[in-house]
Amino acid sequence: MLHNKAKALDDGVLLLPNSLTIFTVRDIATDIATICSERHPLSRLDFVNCEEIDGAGAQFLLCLIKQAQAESLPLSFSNVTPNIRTTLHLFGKVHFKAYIEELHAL
Amino acid sequence: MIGPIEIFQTEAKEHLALLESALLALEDDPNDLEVINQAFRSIHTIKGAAGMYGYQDLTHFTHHLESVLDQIRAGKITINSPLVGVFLDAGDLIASLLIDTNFTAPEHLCAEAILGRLHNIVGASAPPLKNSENASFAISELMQHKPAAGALNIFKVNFTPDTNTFKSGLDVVPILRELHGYGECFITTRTASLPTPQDIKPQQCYLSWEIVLITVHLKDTIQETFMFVEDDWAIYIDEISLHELSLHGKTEEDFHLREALASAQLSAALWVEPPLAPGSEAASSAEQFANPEHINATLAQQKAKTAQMSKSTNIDETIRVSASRLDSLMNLVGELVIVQARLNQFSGRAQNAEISAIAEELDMLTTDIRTETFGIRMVPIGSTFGRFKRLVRDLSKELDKKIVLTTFGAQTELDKMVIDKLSDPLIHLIRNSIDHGIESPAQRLQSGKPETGSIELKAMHADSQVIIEITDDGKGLDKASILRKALDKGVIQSNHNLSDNDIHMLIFEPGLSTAKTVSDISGRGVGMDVVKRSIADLGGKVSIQSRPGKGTTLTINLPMTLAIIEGLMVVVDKERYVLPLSCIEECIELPCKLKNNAATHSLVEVRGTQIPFLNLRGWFKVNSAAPPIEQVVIVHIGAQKFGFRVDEVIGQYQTVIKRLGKLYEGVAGFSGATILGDGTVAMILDPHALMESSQQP
Repeated sequence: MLHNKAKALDDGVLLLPNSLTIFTVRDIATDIATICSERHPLSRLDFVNCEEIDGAGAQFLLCLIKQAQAESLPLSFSNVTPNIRTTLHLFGKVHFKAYIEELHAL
Repeated sequence: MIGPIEIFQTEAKEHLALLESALLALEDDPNDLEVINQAFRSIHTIKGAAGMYGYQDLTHFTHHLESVLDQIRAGKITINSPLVGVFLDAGDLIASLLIDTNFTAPEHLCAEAILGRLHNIVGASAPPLKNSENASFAISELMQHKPAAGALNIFKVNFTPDTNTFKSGLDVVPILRELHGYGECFITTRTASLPTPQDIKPQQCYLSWEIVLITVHLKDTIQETFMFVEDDWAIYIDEISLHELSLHGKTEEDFHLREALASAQLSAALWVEPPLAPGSEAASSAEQFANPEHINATLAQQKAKTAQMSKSTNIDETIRVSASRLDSLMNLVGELVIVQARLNQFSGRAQNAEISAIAEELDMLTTDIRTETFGIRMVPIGSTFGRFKRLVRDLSKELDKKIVLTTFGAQTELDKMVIDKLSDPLIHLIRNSIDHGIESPAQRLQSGKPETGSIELKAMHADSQVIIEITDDGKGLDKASILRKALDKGVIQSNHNLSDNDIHMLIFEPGLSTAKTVSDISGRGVGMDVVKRSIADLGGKVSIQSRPGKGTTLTINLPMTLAIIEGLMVVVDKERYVLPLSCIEECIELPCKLKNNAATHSLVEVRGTQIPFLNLRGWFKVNSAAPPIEQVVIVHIGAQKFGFRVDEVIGQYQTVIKRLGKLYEGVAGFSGATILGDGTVAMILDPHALMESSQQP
C-alpha cells in the first residue's frame, strides 16, 4: 500500500508519507502548519512509512530542528529506517543524533 | 543552453567511450595499470555523476562495476576476455540507461544478469561487493590501505551549493556519500540561512557544509567529486598539514579535527616523532621551521604558487557548446562571407579609397572569423575509431574469426558534420570486410596466411581532402560472382566489356548485395549502394582495389568541410564558375596556335608536357564569340594533370557551398553552387567529375 499523504495523529505527531523529498516537502510543511494551528505543536515525526529521503527532505528536517531549538520545543523522529538514518548521518551525526529515537525490537 | 542533465549524458557517453577503448586495450594487455586506472576513472565518474543527478539504479549498478575494477586495480583480480565482455555489456546497458535512467523491469533483469556474470567470473577470489550505503571506511581499514607511513591526507572541504541546486535536479546526498566513501569524514552542516518551515522553498538549497576528511586519496580525487558542479557551487578544498594547524583552537573545525585524530589515534601512529635532542641539527632545523617569520614567508610563497597554478590551469579551460549552435554560427559566417563579397564588389565599383580600405580590413577579419569557425568544427576522426574496435571484436567473436583492427591517423581532423555522417557508412564497410573479406582461421591457414586476419583503417590529409582507407588481407572480391549477379539482376548486359575496376564498382549498384549481406546488415537498413550515396552526399567518392586472395582496399575521398571552400572564379561567356583552389596548379594563356581550335577536347603543351584540356565553351554549348585572349586553368586530379579552357580568370574567391537540391543532384560536373555578392548564382565545378565525364565515349 502506498502512503503518499502525510497524516496527522494525536498529540502533535505527524505520520510521514512514503517519501520525504523535494516533491513532498511543501505538502508536509502545510500539514505541519495545520497541526500547529489546530491542535498541538509538532512533537514527533513518525517515519514508519517513509522509505525515501533526499537532500531537500533532510534540509526540511534540519529546518524543523532549528525551529524547535529556537522555541525550546520537544521534537523527535521515530521509526527511522536504517537507510534513512544512514542518509541523515551523511549530514553530520551531531545534527540528528539527539532527535532520532532508537529503534525498538518488534 | 545545455542543461545539467544533457551535460551529464554527454560526459557519460564520453566516459563510456573511454571505458570501451580501455577495456579493448586491456584484452590485449591485462596488466597495463594506466589503462586499468582509466577504466576505473570512467566508471567512477559515471557513478558519481549519476548519483548527483539522483539516478539511484544507475549509481548502484555502476558501484558494483567500480568495486570489481577497484579489485583489478589492486591486483587482486586479473582481467581477462570474459570479464572484458561483461564490462562491455555493462557499458552498453549504461548507454541505454542514459536516456531513461529509471530501470524498467527488463533492464533490472539485464543488470542483474550482468552482475551475476560478473560474480561468476570474479568468483571466490573477490571480496563481497560493497554496498554504497556502507561504503565508508573505518580508519583501521584506511590504515590497511595506506601504501606508506604518512600517506594519509587531511582536507578541509567547505562548499556551498548554488541556491537552485535542488531545482535543477541535483542533490547533495550523493556528494556527501562519496566524500564519506573516501575515508573518515567529520561533517558540519551549516543551517544559518534556513528559513522557518513555513517559509521554506523545497526547490532551494539553504545549506552549506564544512567537512574534515581524513583519507588516503589525493586532492584531485576529492575535486573530482565536484566536477559537475564546480562552476556553480562555491567549493574550497584545502589540504591541512599539521604544522599549519592549531590543535588547541576552539572552533568547531578544530574540535572535529581533534576528535578525528583522537579516534584514529593517528597522532601516536603517524606523526608524533620522538623528541629531538636539544642542539641537534634536526632540532635546529625544526626551530628554524617553527620560526613565525619563516612560516609566514613559506605561506606567502605557497599562496603565490597556488595563484600561479590556478591561473595556468585556466589557460585550457573549455566550455561545452551544442553542435546546433556551431552549425548556426557556420551558417552566419557563410552569410557574412556572401555580404563581404557584395561589399568587395561595391567597393571595386565605388572607386572610393576609404570604402576600399574598410572593405579590405573587413575582408581580412571575415577570413579570420571563417578560419576560426572552421577550426572549432574540426574534430579528430579518431573519435569514431573507438567504436570500430568494438565492432571488430564483437563481430569476429560472433563469426568465429580472428581479426585485428589497426588504426592510423586518428588525429586527422575533419568537419564534425562530415564525421557524424560518415560513421554509418564506415561501420557498414568494416562489417563487410569482416563478414565477406576475412576468411575463417581454418581457411586462412589453408591458404598459407596467418590465422589472424587484419583490417587497417587509415585516415590522412591530401590537399583539401581527407582520404580514408579500409584495407583487409582477406580473400578479395570474387569478380566472377559479382559479374554473374550483375547479369542476373540486369545491372549489366552480357555484351558489356568491363575492366576489373568496373566490375569491383558493381558492388555499389543497388540490388547487387548478396542475400547474406542483406541479412547481416538488415538491422542497419543500408546496403553498399546506400554507402556510396552517403559518401557522395558528403561530396566524397569511394573506390576499390582488390586482388584475389590478397585482400581489398576501399578508399574514400572526402572534402574536409561541407561549408566554405577557397575557390578560383572563372568566366565562360556571361556565366561565372568556381573551381576549388586546392586543386589548381597554374593558369596559362591559351597559345595562339590553339585559338582557332574550337574542339571540346584538346591538348596544350606546358613546359614540354602535353596536358589534356576541356574547352568549357564547347562543353556547355556556348555559341557566342570567344574573347581574343583565353586562359587554361591547369588542375591536378590525383597524379593526373588536366586543363579547363575558360574566357577569363577573375581570381580567388571564398565560396560558400550551397547544395544543388534533388532536381540537379545527378548532373555531372558540379559539386554545388554559390551565391555571389550581387545575388547571382555561380556553379561550383567538380574537376574530377568533369574530367571523367569528358573522357567517356
